[in-house]
Amino acid sequence: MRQKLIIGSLVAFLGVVALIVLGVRQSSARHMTLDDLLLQPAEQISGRRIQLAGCTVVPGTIEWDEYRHRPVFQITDGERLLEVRYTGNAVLPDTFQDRAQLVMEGRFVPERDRFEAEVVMAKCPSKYEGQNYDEHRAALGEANIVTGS
Amino acid sequence: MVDIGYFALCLALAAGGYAVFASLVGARRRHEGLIRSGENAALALCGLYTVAALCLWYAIFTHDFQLQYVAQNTSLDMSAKYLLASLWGGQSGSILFWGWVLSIYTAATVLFNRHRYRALMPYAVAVLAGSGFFFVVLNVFAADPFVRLPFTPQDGSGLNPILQHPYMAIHPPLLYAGLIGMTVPFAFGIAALAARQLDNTWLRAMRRWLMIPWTFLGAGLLLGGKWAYVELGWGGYWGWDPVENASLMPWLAATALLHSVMIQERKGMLKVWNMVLLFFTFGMTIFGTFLTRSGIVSSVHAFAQSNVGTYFVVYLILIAAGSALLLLRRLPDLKADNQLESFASRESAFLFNNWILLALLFAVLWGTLFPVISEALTDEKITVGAPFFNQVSIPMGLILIFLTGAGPLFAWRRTSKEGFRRNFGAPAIWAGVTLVTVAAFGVDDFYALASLTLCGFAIGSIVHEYARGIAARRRTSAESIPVAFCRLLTKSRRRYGGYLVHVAMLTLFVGFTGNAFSIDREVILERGQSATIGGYTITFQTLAAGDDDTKAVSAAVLALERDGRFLATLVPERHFYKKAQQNTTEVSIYTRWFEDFYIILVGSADDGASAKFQIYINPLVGCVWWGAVLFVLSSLWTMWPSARDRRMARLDRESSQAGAWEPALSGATS
Repeated sequence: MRQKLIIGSLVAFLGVVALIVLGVRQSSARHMTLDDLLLQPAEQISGRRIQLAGCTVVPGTIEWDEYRHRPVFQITDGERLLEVRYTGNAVLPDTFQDRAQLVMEGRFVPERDRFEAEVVMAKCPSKYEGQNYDEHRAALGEANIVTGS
Repeated sequence: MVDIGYFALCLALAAGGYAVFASLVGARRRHEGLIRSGENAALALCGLYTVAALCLWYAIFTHDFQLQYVAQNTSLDMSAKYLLASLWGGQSGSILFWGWVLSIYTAATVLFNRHRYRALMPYAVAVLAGSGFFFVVLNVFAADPFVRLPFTPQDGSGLNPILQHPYMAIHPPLLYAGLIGMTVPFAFGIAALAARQLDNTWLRAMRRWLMIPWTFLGAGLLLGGKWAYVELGWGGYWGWDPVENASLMPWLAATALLHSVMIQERKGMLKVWNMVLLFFTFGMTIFGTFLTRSGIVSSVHAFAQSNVGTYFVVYLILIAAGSALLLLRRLPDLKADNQLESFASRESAFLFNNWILLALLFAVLWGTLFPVISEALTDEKITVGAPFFNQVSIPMGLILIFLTGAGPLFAWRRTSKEGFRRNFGAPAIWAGVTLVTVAAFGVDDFYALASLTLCGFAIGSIVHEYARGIAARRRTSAESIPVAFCRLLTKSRRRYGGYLVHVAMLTLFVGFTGNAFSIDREVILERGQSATIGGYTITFQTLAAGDDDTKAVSAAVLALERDGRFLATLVPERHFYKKAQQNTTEVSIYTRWFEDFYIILVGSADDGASAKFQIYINPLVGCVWWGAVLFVLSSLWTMWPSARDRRMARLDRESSQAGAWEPALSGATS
């Protein structure tokens, strides 16, 4: 019985490993920051599925299409800029707006120097814990502040 | 009030520390007075945490914006229920809330067990108060909710409008109650090891305290799904986001534990395995919290990232090292009383169920951590998305459905050929009938066919079990079938209530299977124009716009028809919140008993003459919500103390009054 048990567990274990390996092969994306993306030689990343993180929407650059569905916009990591076109079907998350922090999945198209995103996830930009008081002040609006209390 | 709150936290630091110290010394010296004193300190910890939480609530409700926490997480225009919820809306508040809930669990454990499990209690209290102490340390040194700003803003920045939804006010506390509650069974496990009380007594204590957080956690996960479905507007309820996974993993571990504990109670097997599983369940709750707060994996869920990550790592290492050492020292006490005799036995089915649940957990963990793992191994950070998780979890889910049905059909120890035929016959017929019916409806997706057929099999098996139970009752007494059914449910809650939980899980699985048939379409319609999707006809009638102080609304009015019959007027909307400068989609859902028609207003042309819609038709999604309701009700039914439990409790009480230390002494010498 003990031997049978060991063989059984081994088969089950290998099955799980096979499932995981196959799954990873089929649905993986390479995680990159804007810096990584732009420093890579274009042929290495064109056509590859990429998860792009650590960038924010440049304020005022969102250009919606007629029905406010698939915009073209600029992203930045503070230094570099890149144009992004959204190509996915789902409605963009409600938190997608100027200055939103994005995590996107899609492909880089070197010919157009543009990232085509199929999935866009946006973190809520209104959380600013950990920032300093100047930014805090700016975020709350100067007019609102009563000092000296 | 703010000062009182902070002061209460500082006192809580002392109370927590003392509770640990007094309990441990009391247990070692067998000094009942010290043990009681430790318990009282644990109660004081709860009181102090309550004071701190009330103070923060007071600051939130009086809009004391000088408090950084209040300024960041609330605003003047928020309604009372969201003000209430903003106690746990931000980082430091959520940690305060965590510690508070933990202290409530601790106090409940102390109060319920004043006269029970006396040999276990000091160690359990030490573990619980120790965890509580950790959260007080976090609150005082790393995430102080009572920090003041050097100025007083006139208004705070408020809560994101998409979170202003009633589900969002109850979903986090439910999850917290689930995650935090896992500390209690863990504490009993450690106590059993420390006190060398490794008979079935601690298992009884542990199992009840495990059912409670397990139910909370399951309910919290499902409620989060419901919120995503009605609020986020992508037509689904589960996205395999790291934060979702972080709560799913401890739930899976706890589910495995709930099953394998039964084998230990009954056969005295798997003692080490269960202990490891218990530690692992608790570890996963802390690890999950660490995962979501430390920012090592990217998630849609916006959690503030701060230095609490380091504290969690230290805490996790302490827990892992401490419990592993204790377990190693007690290994000789954990020898199995029995051996597995056959694959075709109830024990094997349970064991197999454990493997599958853990394999699923491992796959989810692997996928969630894959960016970190791949970066460490290859220097390339690779992420995997929902397709990976679906691909891996569907086959395992199918095996789980099969085991749900097959488990009860096996006999303990070994199943004879004849017994096998007798028990599997009826469920197999159920499976066959389901397969034929589903295929007749034109379903040709392999996974969907397999899933529904297996669900048919499992339901058949449960019906068969009830029928057997009812027949057995009717042989000895002249009960009618409904009476026998009710008696069965009341007299052996654990067994027959447990089957009801299985029915709930099967209902959920049927709902999940519906994803195989969902339709997703986008259409552009001019006013008066119609489109037909999946047998439904929608006609875009008009676009309305409105405006008030907080938001601007644009709403599309559509008529929904099927087979020439008018069903409903649907009004999907877009809101623009002026303060947050943010759009939200308000979906419109028309629910029929077997499917949902789900429509989103994507946007409209500037002149309002045409608009774009996203439409999802989600078959069987109702089963997910009904399954969720049934899950909560049946779990409550199962864990509610039965007459037998109450008798056992009385026995425990009487024996502990006869001599509190007798069991401990006999345990130590044998």
